[in-house]
Amino acid sequence: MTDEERYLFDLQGYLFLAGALPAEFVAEINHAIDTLESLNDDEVEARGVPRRYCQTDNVLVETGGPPAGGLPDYGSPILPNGGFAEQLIDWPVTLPYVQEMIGEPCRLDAASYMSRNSQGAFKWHHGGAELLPYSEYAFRDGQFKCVSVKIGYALTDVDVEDGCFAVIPGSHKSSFTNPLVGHVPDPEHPLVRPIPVRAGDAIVFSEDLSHGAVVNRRSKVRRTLFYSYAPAFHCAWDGLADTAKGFFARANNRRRELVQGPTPYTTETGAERKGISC
Amino acid sequence: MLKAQEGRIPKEEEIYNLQIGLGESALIHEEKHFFDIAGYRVVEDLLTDEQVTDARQSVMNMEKTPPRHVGRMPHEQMCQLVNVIEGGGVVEDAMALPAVIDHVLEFIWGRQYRLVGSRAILLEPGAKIQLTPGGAAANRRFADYRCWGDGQFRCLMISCLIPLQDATYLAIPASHKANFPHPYKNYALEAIPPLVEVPIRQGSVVLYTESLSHAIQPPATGTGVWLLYQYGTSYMVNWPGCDPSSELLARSAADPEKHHLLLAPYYHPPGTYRKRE
Repeated sequence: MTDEERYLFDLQGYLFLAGALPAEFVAEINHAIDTLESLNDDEVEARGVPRRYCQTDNVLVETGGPPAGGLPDYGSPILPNGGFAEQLIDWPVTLPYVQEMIGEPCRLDAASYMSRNSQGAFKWHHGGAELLPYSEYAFRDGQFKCVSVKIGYALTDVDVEDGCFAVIPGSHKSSFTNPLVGHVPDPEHPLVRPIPVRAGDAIVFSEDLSHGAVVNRRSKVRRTLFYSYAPAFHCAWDGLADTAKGFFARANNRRRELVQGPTPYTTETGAERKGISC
Repeated sequence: MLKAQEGRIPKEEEIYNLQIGLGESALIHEEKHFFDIAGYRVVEDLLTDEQVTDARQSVMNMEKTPPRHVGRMPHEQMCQLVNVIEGGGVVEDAMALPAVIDHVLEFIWGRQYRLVGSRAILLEPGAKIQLTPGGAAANRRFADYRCWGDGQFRCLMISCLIPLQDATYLAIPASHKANFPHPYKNYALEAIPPLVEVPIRQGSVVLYTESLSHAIQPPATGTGVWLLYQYGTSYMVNWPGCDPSSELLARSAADPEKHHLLLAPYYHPPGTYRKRE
């Protein structure tokens, strides 16, 4: 990270990385997603990437209407797809940011794909004052020590009217609970920053940042991949770090370690590696 | 905005049920104040003499013949048995002492805690024990101590030591908040000026944040035996070698507290990401 990137991440709680994925790779990913979406629910389940359709009682999601013949809003685990999903585990453009933001050996704790239709939105959640231990933003002794860093990779161009990601810059340090929580982000609110993206852009953010997505007022489907990282002593989110068959045989060492997690509870003392703390 | 609609700002937990059981412990202000300042707290006489005798015998037997799923790690005048709850009996039951759980409930994250490791520690006279790192400068993120100004604890790891004979716990009080690493690496324990002795009667417990610089005093005579239970946030993985066996999970399933402690790691219990009625 450059000095300016460190400053901005600390200040705002996120970084915007234009063109993190090359156009041809984005095209490859979208082709793979098109293929998955041509399959029925049983077929994608058999491939290990079941579609979890957004339910109307989900407090975070404002469900959009599917286009004619299209799929409703859904999310799905993506690593079992293999291919591009595995390449992104240690994507060289973004992983160095994650490593510096977490500040110690880390693991991938979730990787998922998200599809959002017209009228869909994602309500505000999180913020520093919430004191959720698993999302804490921290900076100590000249180092970032965040415990949850996420990357959102845009697979489509998403303008404000298309329901782009939105944040409250600085809210990762907020001392007061977010009065907007549970509401759909209003891009006109003076605290709110909608972040329009082009396909291939990435947003790297602390999970402590208040974030959501504004309403998709157009007909275009918003496609996003989310990769989430945490220190080694964190577990994976519900099946979201499960891999495709044969992954551990074909993956490079870094990918294997990121998925399995490095040995937890390691410190500079060899004794603790053996589990001795007294 | 909600503020305008309801005349006040709602708390996130009123909308999302993400943090379960906060503020439910029975600890009083004085007890929380002590723990926040000192980094440890002694709770007396939680095991009877008979339970202590049973537990000690069980540990000595396991040390000679470790059962399946229990690891044995000898090291000079010291031996650790890892995942010792697999031995059953009092050693298993002691992971869920109500008075200990009440502290865990307060100090970690409401009901979102789990047992991440258990051990028995056997010390012989002359065992060379090192003071652990502590405070903000220690490279032990899993041990982070947190208590915000309004008294909300979010400790990542709380440890519970139970001596099976009268013994002495050693700690540098307040070191969980130290901003500098302690300068006593490779010092003999008796040569560390700020280290204080905390006598613990057999069957009593000392609870402490893993961020506290601490140690165990080796015994003057005989074998000193301690049980150690480590509790972490619900999403923390087990210490290496501390995954519960299917046999243990089966026999503890009917005990709600043990069942809760041995749940696989999770961020939120199922169904909590729903709007409260």
